[in-house]
Amino acid sequence: MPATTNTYDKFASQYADMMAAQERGGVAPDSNISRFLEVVGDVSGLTVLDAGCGEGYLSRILAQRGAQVTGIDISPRLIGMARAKDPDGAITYQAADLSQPLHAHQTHFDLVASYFVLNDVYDYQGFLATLSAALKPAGRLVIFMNNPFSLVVRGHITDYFAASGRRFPYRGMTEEGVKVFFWHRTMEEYLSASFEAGFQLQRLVDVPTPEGSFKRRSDTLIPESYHFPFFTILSLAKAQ
Amino acid sequence: MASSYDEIAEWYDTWVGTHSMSDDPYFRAVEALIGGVAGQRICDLACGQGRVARYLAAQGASVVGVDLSTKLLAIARRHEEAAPQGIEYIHADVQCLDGAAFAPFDGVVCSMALMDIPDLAGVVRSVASLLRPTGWFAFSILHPCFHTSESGEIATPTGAARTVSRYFVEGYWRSDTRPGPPGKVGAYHRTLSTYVNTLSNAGLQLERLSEPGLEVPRPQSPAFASSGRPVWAEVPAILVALCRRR
Repeated sequence: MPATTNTYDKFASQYADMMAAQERGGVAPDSNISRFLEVVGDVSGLTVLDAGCGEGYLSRILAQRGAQVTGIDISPRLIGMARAKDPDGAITYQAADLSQPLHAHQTHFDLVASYFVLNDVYDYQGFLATLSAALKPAGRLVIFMNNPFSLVVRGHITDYFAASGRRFPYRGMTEEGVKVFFWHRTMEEYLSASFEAGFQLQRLVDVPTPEGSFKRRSDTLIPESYHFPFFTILSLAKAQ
Repeated sequence: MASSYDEIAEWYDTWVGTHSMSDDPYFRAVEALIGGVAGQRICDLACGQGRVARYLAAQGASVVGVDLSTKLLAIARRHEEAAPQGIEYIHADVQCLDGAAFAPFDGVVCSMALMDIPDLAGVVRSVASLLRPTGWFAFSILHPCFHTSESGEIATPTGAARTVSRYFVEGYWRSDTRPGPPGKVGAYHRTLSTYVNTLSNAGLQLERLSEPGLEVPRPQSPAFASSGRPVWAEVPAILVALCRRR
């Protein structure tokens, strides 16, 4: 397997099971999805791209909230599952690599929402450039991502600088049979790529880790009183 | 209002060292974002004993330094008297400067000081009022994601490891075990989101961000004496940002 491809398609059914369990839980207060939707804001009547939609978890939520949703993912199997969960065809799904230019949707969307995707994409610069091109002027991009600092603090990676570009397994998901990866990049690299793609950073949210939600592992060096954001939300706007 | 730095002015003057700012890896990271300053009118916010102001003036900038510590300003003015560069030093609280009292600045620089000042929103308002439209604001701070009130080291079988805790607890902290100002007069921790959003809300658009690692060799000054531990070279020591007034 090339070092630049991820394995969501191979583990699509395991991943979809995990997401189905999450979907059954609904949008609980203070959950990651709830914090993400709060930053996304009112989507009613907007044309929205769910960038890296997987089996459609976020696309369905956005569509229920009145958005005209297009979901795009690199995994054909996950796109097939997403379509199967949308029998009325309310959502437009497409299998495509968003790190490559997306000629069909230039300056088309009011909003791009991307939930737990950026870290999983090897060519994050190409991904951000594609999303920028897909947005109308002044359109917004809201990204939910792993906080790159957290991965160092939690011991997943040792050297914040030297690990950039290296691939690491998601420990928790791997234990559940979803053997997928992320690439470590520094916050500077992510933000520089965003600015390079024509975005302005409007808001950054350090997502608090809910009390008790974190199981301390014996092989990490996290203090007992650990409080560090696992996740970050970036709210960006395409410069006019 | 008195400055906590008045109590440690002489110690601080020795601690920062006498090396040129061009040899200072922290300031080089700021300079990399600012670019050339010749002919620009620049305010050095929380200028202390004036080493950044002197360096920028030597590069051809017209510089005004502002600080709350009369003792540090006295040192800065002694340098100016000994080798005049046309730097104006003003004793004022940078948390509540009125830009209308000054001619507009092309740029404002604040080197390793925002984390020492209680009211971030006040400083950022001051900055916005000092800048001409599209003027720039560059600053460096201790990296807020690795320097909190409870960051340090723990021993492991394979050597020292970093720990970071209490990230979400903002506000004043002081640690006797920390070298430098955080051990002497303390500092104010804020989350990365607080920094970014305070700037954004004041109309200062983040344009570039950098997270330099510690370069080797480091200058021969006490400020860098304890920062060379390998475990801390693996993470960014400081955060540097360039913003532009909308």
